[in-house]
Amino acid sequence: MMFDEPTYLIQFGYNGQTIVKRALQNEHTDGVILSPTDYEFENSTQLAKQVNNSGRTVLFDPQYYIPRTERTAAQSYPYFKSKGGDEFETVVVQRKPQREDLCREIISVQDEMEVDAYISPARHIDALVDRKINEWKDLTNSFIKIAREEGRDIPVFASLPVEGDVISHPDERNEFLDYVTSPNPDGFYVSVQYEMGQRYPLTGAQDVHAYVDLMKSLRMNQFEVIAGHSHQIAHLLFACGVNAFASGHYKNTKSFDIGRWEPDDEGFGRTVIYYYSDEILNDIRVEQGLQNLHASGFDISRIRTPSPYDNDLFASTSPESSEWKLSEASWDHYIYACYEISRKYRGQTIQEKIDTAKEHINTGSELYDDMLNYVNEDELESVDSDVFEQWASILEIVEEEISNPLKKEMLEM
Amino acid sequence: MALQRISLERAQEEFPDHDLTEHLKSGGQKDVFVGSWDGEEIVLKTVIVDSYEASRRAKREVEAMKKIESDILVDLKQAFPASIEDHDVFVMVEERIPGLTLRDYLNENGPSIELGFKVTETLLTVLQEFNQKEMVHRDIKPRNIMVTPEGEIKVLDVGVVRMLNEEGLTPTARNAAPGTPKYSSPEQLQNSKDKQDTRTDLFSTGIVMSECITGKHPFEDRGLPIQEAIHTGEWQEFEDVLDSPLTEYLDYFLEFMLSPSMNNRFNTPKDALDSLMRIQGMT
Repeated sequence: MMFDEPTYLIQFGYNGQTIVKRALQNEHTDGVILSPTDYEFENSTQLAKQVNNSGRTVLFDPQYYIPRTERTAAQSYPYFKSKGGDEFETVVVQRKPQREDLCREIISVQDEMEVDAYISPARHIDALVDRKINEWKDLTNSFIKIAREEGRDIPVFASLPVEGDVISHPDERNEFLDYVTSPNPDGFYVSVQYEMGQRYPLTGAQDVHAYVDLMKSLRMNQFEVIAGHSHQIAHLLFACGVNAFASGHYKNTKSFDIGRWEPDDEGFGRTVIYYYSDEILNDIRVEQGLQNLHASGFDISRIRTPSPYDNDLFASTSPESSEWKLSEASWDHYIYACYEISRKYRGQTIQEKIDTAKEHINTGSELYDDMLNYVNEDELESVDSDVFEQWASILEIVEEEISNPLKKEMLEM
Repeated sequence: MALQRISLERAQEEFPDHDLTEHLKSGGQKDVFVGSWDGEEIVLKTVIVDSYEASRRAKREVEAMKKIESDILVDLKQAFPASIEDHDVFVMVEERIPGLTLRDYLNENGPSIELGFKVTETLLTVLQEFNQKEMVHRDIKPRNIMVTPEGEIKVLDVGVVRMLNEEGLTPTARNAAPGTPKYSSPEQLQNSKDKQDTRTDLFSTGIVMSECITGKHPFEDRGLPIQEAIHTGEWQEFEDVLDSPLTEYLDYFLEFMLSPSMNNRFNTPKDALDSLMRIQGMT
């Protein structure tokens, strides 16, 4: 097993280098997932070295699912350069010799970074059609074979970047799972892309159920699972046996988007700031939400997730008077909160994990209800209260499944 | 005129070194004879290869038998082409396994949990090697399993083996993949070549296990034709027919073997074997 206990990895992204270094220094991460699009090869290799020296996990997502986009940093990686860079053609992964060549180059890059497990390249799966699935299978199988035959003796994770729509319907998800569980990697690195607005945190009963069910099924197939580009839904993921989740600095990389994102902007260049509260499992918009609450007499400290950075975020305990500090500490705070989520589930059986998640959701729900005694729902627009009911119902489904002791055993392995 | 069957006399004439004494059976393009060669009892199989597909399939069978090293699979001693009445024939000489087919053994001795464990454990052991070598047997059934007088379990006939890293031989337009429908998984019945893998064999192994324990095909008498029951996942659970402290666990196990969805089955024969051993250890 690569991960003995629930694990949090920082998903690399904009300004990630600084954040990773701080998190390492303060021991708020178990490792990183680096990517080629944000930092040049040399910088990533240096950072990988630092992470390795600290004894933490280094992974590298080759991100070969982004064709025809401008990624300047990616051009510095040999496999991007030699395969046509931003203009790479699909044929590269269709023909066996080129495909194997690409895999070798990616393995070589990952070796240079001394990763702790290989991650395969993959094209984004946005439809359940034979061509896309077979292309994914071919590339994944080639990578696993070459990594095992020619690479170092470390685990191999298959990258699974998929559109939420592909897995939302049970029959299609089932079909999708039949195919993707056919190769035999040691684990999966999964990134599911959802529509904007549904993913901070993930809501929509069908989507939440589909996502958790996908992860649970992969675990029951005895694969280790890393939920990439994830977020506070990690509570549910750990409760269904997922081994690790990865999330980046604050809102930017909390969810998977192959088109990438621009930081939220209200227009007129005004950036919208959110505060992450694990107490209510949500981000809360600072000016509209947090200040309204404070002004109404609600004790803000009740939703402040304690972190070493928490006080830095508020110039005083009164956000109204001091206003929110546009501080990098918000990212550190978010990362610390993610790290703490993973710690809550360590040393627990699957039933205990379910109980922990349930309890957390119940507490969040009660807190939210109490907040509504102080402000209107409209004033907490940024808080998506659907999670309390939807996430709780998903946990009941997981709990029902583990009444089969074999399934329980598989999720605990 | 197409050559239909090869008689014992004709085979004796063609293969004098093999001292053939009995025409054991015929089926499809195959004739099976019993004899001795090199001081050992053997089975000589002739396959009429009157098409490219038949020829490739026969060669593939030989290739598979050579690749699998396990003693659980019958040993191939010779393979060579021949010509009978201007027809191309492929000949395979295998060790003769004494004893009864599992079908006959069940008819004579009846089912038992012990037999179920033993057969399933043996099948899962040899299927691990098939899986490692990227092959799917696709015809696991009681008639292809032998029980020797010493109680050893042996697997016969890899005639419809699928090699995952090679092009399939069954035309995609065909309604079903080769194999025996009663023991075929949904993906095999649908001839979904892209999907078939080691889990396809786990499905058939689940049926065999159930028959060994209960004496009855688990998809029979479910109020549906067998193939429909296979597709919809309507199998007979052990709890309806088996009084044992292990019944509940065996049913959980069976669910991971017989699920119509491949991803709901064990992922590999090793996973299944590990789980089976844990259940067995509960006795």
